Amino acid sequence: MSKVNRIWRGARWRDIAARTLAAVPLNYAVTSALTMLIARLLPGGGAQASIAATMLSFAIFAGLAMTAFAVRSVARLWIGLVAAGLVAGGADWLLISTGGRL
Amino acid sequence: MKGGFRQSMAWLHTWTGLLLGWLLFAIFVTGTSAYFQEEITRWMTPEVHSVPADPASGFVAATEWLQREAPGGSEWSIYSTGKRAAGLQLYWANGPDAPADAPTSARLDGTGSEVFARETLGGWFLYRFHYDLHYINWYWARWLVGIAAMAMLVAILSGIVTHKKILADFFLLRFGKGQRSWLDAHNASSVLFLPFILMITYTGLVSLATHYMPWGIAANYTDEGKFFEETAPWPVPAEKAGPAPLAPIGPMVEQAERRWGTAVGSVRILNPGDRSAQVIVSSAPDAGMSIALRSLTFDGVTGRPVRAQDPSGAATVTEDTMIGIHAGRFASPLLRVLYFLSGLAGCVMVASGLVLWTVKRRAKLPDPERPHFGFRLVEKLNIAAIAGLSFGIAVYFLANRLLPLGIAGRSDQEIDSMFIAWGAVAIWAMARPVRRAWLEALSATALAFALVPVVNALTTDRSLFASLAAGDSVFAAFDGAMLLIAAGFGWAALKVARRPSGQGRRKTAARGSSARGVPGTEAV
Amino acid sequence: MIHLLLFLLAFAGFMMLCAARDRHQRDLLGRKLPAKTAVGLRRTGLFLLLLAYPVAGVALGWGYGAVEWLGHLSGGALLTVLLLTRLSARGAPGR
Repeated sequence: MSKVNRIWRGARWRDIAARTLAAVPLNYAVTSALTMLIARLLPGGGAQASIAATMLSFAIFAGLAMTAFAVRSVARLWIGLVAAGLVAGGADWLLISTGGRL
Repeated sequence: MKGGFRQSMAWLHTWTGLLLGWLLFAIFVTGTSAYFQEEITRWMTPEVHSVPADPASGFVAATEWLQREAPGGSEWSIYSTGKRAAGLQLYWANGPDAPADAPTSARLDGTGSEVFARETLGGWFLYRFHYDLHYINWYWARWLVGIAAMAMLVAILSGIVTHKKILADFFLLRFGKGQRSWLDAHNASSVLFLPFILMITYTGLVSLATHYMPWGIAANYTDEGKFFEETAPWPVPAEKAGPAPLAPIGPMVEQAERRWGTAVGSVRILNPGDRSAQVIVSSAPDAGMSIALRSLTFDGVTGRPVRAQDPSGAATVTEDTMIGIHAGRFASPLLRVLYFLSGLAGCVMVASGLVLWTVKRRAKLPDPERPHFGFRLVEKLNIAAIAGLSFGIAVYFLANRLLPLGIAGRSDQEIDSMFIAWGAVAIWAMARPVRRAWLEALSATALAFALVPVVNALTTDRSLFASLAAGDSVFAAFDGAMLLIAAGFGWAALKVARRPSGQGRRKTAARGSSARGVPGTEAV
Repeated sequence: MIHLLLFLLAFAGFMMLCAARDRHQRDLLGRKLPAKTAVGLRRTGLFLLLLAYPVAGVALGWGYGAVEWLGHLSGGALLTVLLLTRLSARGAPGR
């Protein structure tokens, strides 16, 4: 059988799908939460912090996307990303609800 | 993933590159053309003869023109087309007495008289296409372009980690050595122009950053509008307060130029001829590397400055400089040429990468004479994307000269011609055997580009010879560039024609190449 | 003039870096250089590439100079590789 046919079958296919989902939609959510966190934490006023965080976000996204295809265990990848997203998102919520720049 | 870090990164490089490669090629080609956007527009409006003029006096003449042609308006904007085109673009909002279909824009030459040229979007359309595409909603178009740019960034980074060795010793790169030439072209264009390619990808994402990642603003602002008000204020006309004459514009422009030491790029007048009039003078976007504009607001009646706005803040300056370096408006002619060549290298990188995908797989196919559907699709899409777009752009230029001048919606018809030609090549590629399709599409593209100067000579009085004799560098360079591009496609067509078609030979060559020990051939 | 100087610095720098490597000396010079010369060439080449930046910075401004410097580095590297392709094709056909 051709190599391509083998690729698109079974475990390999599920592995790629799980990684792609982690690398794109989940990554976007995690990067967004991290970007918000950086925008809240950076000094120098709301506008400057927001711009700096936004510019950094693309490096974060690219780094996480590559990580998603580099790490060995898909399970650990998902656990790690979801945990990072929850921690960052929780911190965002806390920082915003305690007020400050908004 | 299975097989270690390098293998998974090579896999990522291959597939992100392939999936978004066709769109990336279109973005790279049209974006590269945008480095000569003004020059393309000048070529596409041959009626306009460039008038060298002092920009400051241009703003004064434009104001007089507006006082005559658009009195009672609530807002006038005068944009200098910059140091490369020496014209003025005017926009205005008509007053309540004006008929609903009264014009709201005009183009003046440097001396302030209206320019009448054929209706065309010129180089601006190609520039705009590189991030807004066409025929589809700009909002989703920008998302598509952003996804492609991010795929590009991931493809570049994974390419770097996979092929570290090439970076360390790129002297091993060779051009045009037999079957390896696609790999050579891909490696050389990406490695030698890596600073540009990384820069253009990241700064491209930054240019539309808040579109893709609005959450950084959302963290600090409940309302996005407040953020933009703070970072890029855009005053609107106040309530009118009764007539009063507008103070002369000339001294305001001069004062701003003295204060900044750079040229003025635009003048906005709110409520001209009213007591509440304001004149906002902004610096030229091609004056420095950062696109951030400085502005000075004057009271429109007394002519005294009331407010100065200068970009500040490290993040703002970084962002505006990144966007400025991406667009390269500040570049001198020589640096502009370097930008253009780097952009071409990017086009070559994407195109050769796409072709490489098929070249590498063809030898490994179970039956190279009868490839499976996915393989055939990639082959055909490559022709449609690479030769099709190039042919379409040549037709866009030809249509500019050949469509009748007075027809309705002329600029749209020029654009439609481009996409019809592009689509025709795509359909042709689907219908023909791959090799013949490449040969025919590349030959047609070479012919179409070669025809551009010919048709220009036949339909205008500004042929290549006339331009050379008159010392008109823009027209001469444009025609010359068309001939060079035609020669490039002709050369490519010749290469395809001479390529040995035997499958067996390709197989051994492919195996031979990976045994040569040059990094980059394995692991894909 | 400054643009030509920058390009020549970049080109000379890459040629020296290249000549410093064993496997290119045969293509480039037809013989192998002593190790000491190679080290000297590598250092000088690197020095020229780095020197081009302050030259560009002083002449054209540090920001503008940086962009132009990177552009010339790419151009110099491209010419080096093109030249090597020529030389190696002549020196050792079908290498």
